[in-house]
Amino acid sequence: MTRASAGERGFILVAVLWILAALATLASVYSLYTGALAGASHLSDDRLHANASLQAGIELAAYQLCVQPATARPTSGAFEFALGDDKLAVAFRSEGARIDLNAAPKPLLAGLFAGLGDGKEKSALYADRIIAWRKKGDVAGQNDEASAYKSAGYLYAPRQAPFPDVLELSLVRDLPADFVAQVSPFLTVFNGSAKIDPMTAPPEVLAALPGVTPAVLAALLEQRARDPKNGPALLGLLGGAQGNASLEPRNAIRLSIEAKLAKLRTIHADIVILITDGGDDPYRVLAWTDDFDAPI
Amino acid sequence: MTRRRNGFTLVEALACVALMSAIVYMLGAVTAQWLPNWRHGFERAQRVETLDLGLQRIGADIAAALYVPPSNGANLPMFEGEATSLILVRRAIGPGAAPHLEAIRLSETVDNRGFAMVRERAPFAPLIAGVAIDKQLQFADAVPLVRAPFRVSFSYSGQDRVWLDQWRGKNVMPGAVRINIRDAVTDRLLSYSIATPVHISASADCARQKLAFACANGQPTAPAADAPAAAASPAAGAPTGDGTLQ
Repeated sequence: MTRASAGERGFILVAVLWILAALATLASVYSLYTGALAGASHLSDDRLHANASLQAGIELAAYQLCVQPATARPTSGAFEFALGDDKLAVAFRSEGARIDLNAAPKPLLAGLFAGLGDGKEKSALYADRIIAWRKKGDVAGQNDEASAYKSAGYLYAPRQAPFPDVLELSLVRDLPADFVAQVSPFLTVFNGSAKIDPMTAPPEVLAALPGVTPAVLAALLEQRARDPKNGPALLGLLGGAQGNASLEPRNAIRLSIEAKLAKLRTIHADIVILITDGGDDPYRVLAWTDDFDAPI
Repeated sequence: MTRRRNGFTLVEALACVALMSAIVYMLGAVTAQWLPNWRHGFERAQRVETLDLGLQRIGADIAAALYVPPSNGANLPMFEGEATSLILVRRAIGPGAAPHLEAIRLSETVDNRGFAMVRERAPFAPLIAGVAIDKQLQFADAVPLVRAPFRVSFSYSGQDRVWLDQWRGKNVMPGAVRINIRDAVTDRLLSYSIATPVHISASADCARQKLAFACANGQPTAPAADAPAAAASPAAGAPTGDGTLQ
């Protein structure tokens, strides 16, 4: 009886091991399946997470800008905050800091290009081409500029209307291939004015103003570092270039957001909002670029 | 008297083998039942993963849509949304891509494997007003994003949150686009469907208007005093004045 029991125990052990192996296989199949599903939905979660954090940065910046009357609105600033486990750094600056591609006169554009090392003659040519692209023709597709594009082998005609985006510069004839990447950090289509804001403009833009010599530029930067909120003093230093500068507040603000997302990588975003000063929404989004799926 | 030897008798051994065979047979039958399910489970997980990657790309393209008028004759954005196709303009992406604008077409096609939502692209350039976009832009680099057994369709909503099957010829961008996923055979709406916001909610023109909120809502406005003369409201259509912006 004892010997028989020992034999049965061995036999049952094989069956139990078999069943355990089958159950383990089933469990691993199930875990692989659910893991794949969870991984697939996790991708969507990451984008949702990133968007929500960036949106929080935009709304806090918009609040800081809207809480004050337009005349007292800060033209630049920065703040940091934590949202759950995320850490965000937001820097904002008026679009008046950039030269408006649709409104800037030729000397301002040419001054910028010359300052970036394109040479005087080439800079004037590039400025002419840009102005010809945005300048309304007599009859669309049947004018000198349109003919010039056609004879140069381009398959399209110039827009002859305002640039809707700075990247449309890549279509303007005679501009070199790397031109857009070189000049786009200093250009915008959201300034809303031909004039720049000397309180926030980067040195390259200040140097583009006609009549601003290296000595004047150095004095401007020194004055701005010493007394950042004294706009009239900056205008005074500009002298004859005052006509191209204005302290008027702009409604378009550019936000640079760095979002360190918990358990995710750091996302950078460059977003332009328009303070609407009325209506249901306090702001609208004019441009949004982030490096979630492509570098900016 | 012979002493009985330890061990199994032949009958016991045969019974044991028979019993073992029966159990192995039963286990084999069970295994045969779940092996196909295992394979189907993997295939299903792979399909869902592929679907998710396709949806990610479609959602990213829609979110990045820009307010770019197709020609100088109109100030409406090039956002041609239909139930099974969508044309939009976005910044070009890709390794080594020079900064430029790109037109993207997402459209449903049918090939030997059934329905497919295909992404194509073309370098953007101003178009001739009145001529179909497809005839002017050479869309290429077709990539199937979502294939059968799934079918993709689009719905569009504005600020009023009413979903429409079409969004074209409007002077505002849609607030959100819903990407509906259906079973290609039963046409049943599946839970994989998602909605994605369109980030841009106003045109560059609104930065030049006195009443920015009215402009953003597509209502006629007047340019600000310091704004360039050619900056007309979106509702007003083509730029006015002599267009000399300098």
